[in-house]
Amino acid sequence: MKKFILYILVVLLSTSISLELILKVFHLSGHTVPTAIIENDKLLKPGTENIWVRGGLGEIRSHYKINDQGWNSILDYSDIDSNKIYVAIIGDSYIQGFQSNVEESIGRQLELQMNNKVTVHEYGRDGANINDYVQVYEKYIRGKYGYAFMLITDKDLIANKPSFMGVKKPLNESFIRKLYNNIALIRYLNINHGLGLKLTELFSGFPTVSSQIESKAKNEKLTQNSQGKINQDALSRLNSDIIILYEKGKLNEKFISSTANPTVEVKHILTPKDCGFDSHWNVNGRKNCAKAIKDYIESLENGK
Amino acid sequence: MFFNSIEFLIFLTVVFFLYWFVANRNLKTQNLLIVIASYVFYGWWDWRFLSLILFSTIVDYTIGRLLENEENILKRKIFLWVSVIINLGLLGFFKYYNFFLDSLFELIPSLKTGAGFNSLNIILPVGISFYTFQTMSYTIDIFKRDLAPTRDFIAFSAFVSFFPQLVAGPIERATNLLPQILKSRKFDFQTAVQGMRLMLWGFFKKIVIADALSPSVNEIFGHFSDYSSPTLIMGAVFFSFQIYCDFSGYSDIARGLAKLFGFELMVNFNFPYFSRNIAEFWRRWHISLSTWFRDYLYIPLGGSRVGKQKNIRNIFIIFLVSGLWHGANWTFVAWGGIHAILFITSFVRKSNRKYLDALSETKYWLPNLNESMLVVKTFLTVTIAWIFFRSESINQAFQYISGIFNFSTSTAIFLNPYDNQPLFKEFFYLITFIIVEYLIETKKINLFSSNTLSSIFVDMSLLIIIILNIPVSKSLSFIYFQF
Repeated sequence: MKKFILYILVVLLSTSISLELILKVFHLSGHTVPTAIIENDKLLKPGTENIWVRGGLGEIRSHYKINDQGWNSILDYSDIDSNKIYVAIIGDSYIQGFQSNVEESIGRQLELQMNNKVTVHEYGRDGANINDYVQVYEKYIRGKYGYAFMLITDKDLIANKPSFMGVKKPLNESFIRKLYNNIALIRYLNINHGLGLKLTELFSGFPTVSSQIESKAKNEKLTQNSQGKINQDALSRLNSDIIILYEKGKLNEKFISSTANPTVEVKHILTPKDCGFDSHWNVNGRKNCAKAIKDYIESLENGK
Repeated sequence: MFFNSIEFLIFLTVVFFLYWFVANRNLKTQNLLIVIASYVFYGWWDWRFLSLILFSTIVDYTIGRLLENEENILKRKIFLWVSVIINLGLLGFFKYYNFFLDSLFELIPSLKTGAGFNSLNIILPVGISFYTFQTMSYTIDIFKRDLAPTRDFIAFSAFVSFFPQLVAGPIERATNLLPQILKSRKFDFQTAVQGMRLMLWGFFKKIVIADALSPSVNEIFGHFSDYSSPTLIMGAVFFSFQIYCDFSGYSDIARGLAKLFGFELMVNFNFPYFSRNIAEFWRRWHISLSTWFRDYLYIPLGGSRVGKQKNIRNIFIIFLVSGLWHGANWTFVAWGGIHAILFITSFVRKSNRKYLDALSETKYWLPNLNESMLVVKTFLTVTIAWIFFRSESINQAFQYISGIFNFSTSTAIFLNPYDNQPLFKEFFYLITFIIVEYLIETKKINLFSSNTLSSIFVDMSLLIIIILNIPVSKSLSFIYFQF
């Protein structure tokens, strides 16, 4: 038995070392984009630039660049040209857009589609919700932009606290975090394959076929009847200038019909996703979103 | 709990150490641990279905004991039929109730409104077709006096629920597995290393081949009317390898796991796609099921000892039942029917007992040309039959096949729908896999070399390929779990 355990350990060790080398040489593991506290908000670390990787064999590889204000964009948001119309888009990871090159973001697509008549600033942060959006609008956007769009889903509406605005978590990297950031294999298992999430799910309950069905039904119900759980306090602070962007099926229909804010549906004409494992938009999805915004702005401009 | 899941990895580590370090001094404790572990493994899907396994275990254990002392042939037959009816009753209710009812309603529509009974919302318990056949074979063997019943209920429970093969086989015979359970086991390094290798090879087949082909197969079969003739051929060939690697991969993992615990399970697949005719294919494909039907259905029906016509009838019955065993749908019956026709053709031409040996070895590692042609012909025939197996309906299968033969050059598929990447990786692994299988079949390479260094290298390489090819965010379930 001792020999077998030793054998297993040798196999595991040699596999780990080889994998570490392969993952590093071929740049296959994902990594966490570093964060920074900017004016009391936990944003992305300015000046960071790298390749964002997801998928088992790095099926998604895209270039990202964090501007001086802490957002994923090639534009510096402090450069203002008074001759241009400025558009702000607020949202979560869909607007942050790590899944495609930063040069092909929704903002750039919109600028292209509108022949550079507008300049677009994207305020996207993964995991953000309505509480963040309201604060982002009040702090960075109010009074400075011609148009402010906000991509909202049901999940955003039911959150009751912000995820990054006003969140001042210590930024000192622990030894474990440093180790994690330096070992490609652990990052690969955790970021590319969601090992941590799987383990959390595993130890949080004993699954059964029926519980899985119930849980699925519960999620579907949430989409249909989330009206009662909506964070009304955050919504009451939503400025009437904000134009709500939504995808059909992802935002409660009752909410869409009852909100006082204008709404714009992102209709997917081009196939919006590449990978079954990642629901975020690809470049086509961004083009679709940009088209919806462009059509809305043009309809308003033509009406003036 | 799926073999390809993180929970199984934790489960296996815990059970392995408890088995060899805590429960190793007492056979009964070891067997009890197998039962508990197997029930946890099965209960992970839905603990309520454990009652079915327990019920089936109690019924066959009791009937086995009753048969032991009963000499009266009529009473013996009654005991046997009680076991058969209960086991087939469970299987029939959970697997075929809705199928037969819906088929009846389709045949006589007036019954649907008048009969007052409707389809039920039944969840099919995982692996029910496997363990009911296993327990039935125990009782039938005792009835035939081929086996003495065990008085050890724990050992019998371990035989019925043995977790490596509980949900997708191989369907073990009590004559093979039960004596191993009743005998004390000693840890053997070489066997354990071989077990680990078999498991890794099984995972390679499942994750690197079957799961990688699955999105393309689903896409092509799901939208077959949109695709060109070559794409439909590719879809069918991909499915042939998907189902083979999925199912034989499971069997390899099961056999490897059993070895880790000191057991030898039967070989379930013997390179079936290197068969030179359909009869040989059936000697190599899902061997535990084919031999089960041979021993418990074909031979009792008279087997080959009856006249030619009756023999043909028996062959037909075996294949139709085998088709139905795979699933409650007429597509499976059609699949069985096609194989019956092919087998009977071989039987009539007296070629069914041909090719009992492995492929011929040649000087330059290349296959014999004549045999290669036969292998390709058999593979293509089997692939056409798989179209019925994979399709939603018989009509759809015919449409798929006619799509192949209309030689349309419309839409082709070059990207894997899973990640929109070119299918090069899938083709590369598939071709590599076929070459490796060929080299193992012709004994040019030995996957189970006892040389420690080469063992480490092979295990390491397999592990690296598997880890790098695990599909993100999901563990895809094995196809044969649904049967």
